[in-house]
Amino acid sequence: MTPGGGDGGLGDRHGGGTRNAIVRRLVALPPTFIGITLLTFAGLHLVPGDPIDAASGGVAAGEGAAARTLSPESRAELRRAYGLNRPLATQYADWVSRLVRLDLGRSFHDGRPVKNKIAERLPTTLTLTFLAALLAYLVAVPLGTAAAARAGSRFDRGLGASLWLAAATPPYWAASLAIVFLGGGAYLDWFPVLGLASDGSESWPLAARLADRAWHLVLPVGCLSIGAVASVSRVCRAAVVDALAQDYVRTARAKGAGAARVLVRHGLRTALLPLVTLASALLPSLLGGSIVVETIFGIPGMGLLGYEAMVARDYPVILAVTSLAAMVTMLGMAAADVVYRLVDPRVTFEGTGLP
Amino acid sequence: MRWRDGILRGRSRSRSRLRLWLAASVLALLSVGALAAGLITGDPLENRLGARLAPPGGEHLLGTDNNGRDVLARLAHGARVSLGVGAASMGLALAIGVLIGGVAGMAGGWTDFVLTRAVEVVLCFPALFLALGAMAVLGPSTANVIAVLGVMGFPPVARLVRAEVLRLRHADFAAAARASGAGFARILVRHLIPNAMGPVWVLAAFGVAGAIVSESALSFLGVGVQEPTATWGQSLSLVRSYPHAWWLGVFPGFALFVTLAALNVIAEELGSPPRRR
Repeated sequence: MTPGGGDGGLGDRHGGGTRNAIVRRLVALPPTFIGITLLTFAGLHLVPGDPIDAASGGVAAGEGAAARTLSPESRAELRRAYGLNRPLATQYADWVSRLVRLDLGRSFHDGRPVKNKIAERLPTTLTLTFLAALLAYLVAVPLGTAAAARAGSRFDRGLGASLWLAAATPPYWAASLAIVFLGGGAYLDWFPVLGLASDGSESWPLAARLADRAWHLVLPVGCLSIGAVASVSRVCRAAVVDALAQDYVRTARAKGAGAARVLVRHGLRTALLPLVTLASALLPSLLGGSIVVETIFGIPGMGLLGYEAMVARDYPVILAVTSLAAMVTMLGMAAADVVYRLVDPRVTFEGTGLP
Repeated sequence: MRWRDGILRGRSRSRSRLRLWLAASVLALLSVGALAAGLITGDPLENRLGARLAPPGGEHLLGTDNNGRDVLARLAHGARVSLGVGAASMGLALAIGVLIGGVAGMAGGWTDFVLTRAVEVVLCFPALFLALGAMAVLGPSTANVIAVLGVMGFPPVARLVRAEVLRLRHADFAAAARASGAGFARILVRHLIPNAMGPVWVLAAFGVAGAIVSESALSFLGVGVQEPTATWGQSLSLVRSYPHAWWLGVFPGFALFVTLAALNVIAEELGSPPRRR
């Protein structure tokens, strides 16, 4: 331990206050979970018509169209099979109790259990999201810190302008440009733009397969992380600039700490807090971006699954994918709050509206 | 002269306002172009089977798409959808968000708890997942896109308004209003909300940009505003099927990019206090 390092050790600061605050944050989870399930359930069941109508021709197409594709008898039978003839409250309770047990029903489309379909796809999306977040932090934290160290310089302003350009580039435009200019469209043909593996790569040795996989991931991960790079760099720069203006930084300078030490130990360390919170805000946007990126690059993940289900009006899959994505986000946000509270005991959860 | 001093010194108020005015002019130009699209360009719906996927130049300044439709005309008409849906859905989000955030902040207690949970619930859904699910249930149409994006856009507004109302609730002017006999609704609507709106407009500018991104994403995926209506997202999506038609990948995205960049500048300039050295 060095003097002035400010490293008080986390353990001795964990009083009952921290535990209470964390418990209070976790108590807010069940109501949010109920809200998520109510919203998805209501969205599906309170609109005119029911899933059977919609799946068999669409409410908009009218009774005639639906009647042409399915006889009234078979529709009634389907309703019974899916329990759609029972009271809404019973259906909701039944659906939630099955959801908790991860029994997500069967796909309208191919009759396979939705759980299996998601289990196949989820790792891909989580990998994609994780890699994009990792790339964003690896690129953005050094950039943001360097810009803060030279605040107002040409480098700082140039970086600010580039980040402004990056922030205005939606992932699907980046992906379209990548396909045209790097993926064999009209110019270079450097990267594959479809799927996660080359044809016939199953028989390759492990190292070659991994390299092939990485090769296929370059463009999707790159396109997905552009927006995140912009927001992480900005937050990092602002936080480090803030930190460098504090009295303890002046003290550190006065006692003769080197520039790099001041920047990293005193500037960047304080900036870690906002960067942790930012991760929870990035999660939903990266998950949302994965829909577009997976659809464009034909990557078999949750996003593509949700998109295909939506086009095919495969309601059990839509329901499962949407509520799962929301629950992953809910847990991610809670985890970030808890980590934040553990790192900084001054944090309260006033913003959560807990009584 | 003050403005010249400002520009020479590089980072002062004048320069910051210059950025704001530039961005506002870009947006104004885009809006005028969108409204007058029919006068400036040709028919965005006319199929020319003889001129499919024609590269830029000559008769079609920005080329044609797979149906031989003029890309420039489609972009000009697409600006109507992007700007219109962006503004309309943000208007809806503002209305819902100000109401819910204001009531939550003012009422406190269990009302606050329930409303805040409701806001958090919507916030938990990754934007596009919720939009896709909602479009699947409601069916794709322009009105539904506006409704869905409006509902998705309200949570940040509600959070901000709630925080502002909590901050202002005990300010002197609110106490004075209460002392002179104003009720719950009057204090909220006449005193607290008008004072809370400053930061909300900044959020709204970012929100319009966000709504435009989502609208284009939905159109790109083919589940938003439907063909044959011209949208930027739809034009851009064609590049997946015709990757050699670089003009389909470049121009629609660039239109989107310019709009978003201008909106971001406006939001940032509104949000940052005038810079002084």
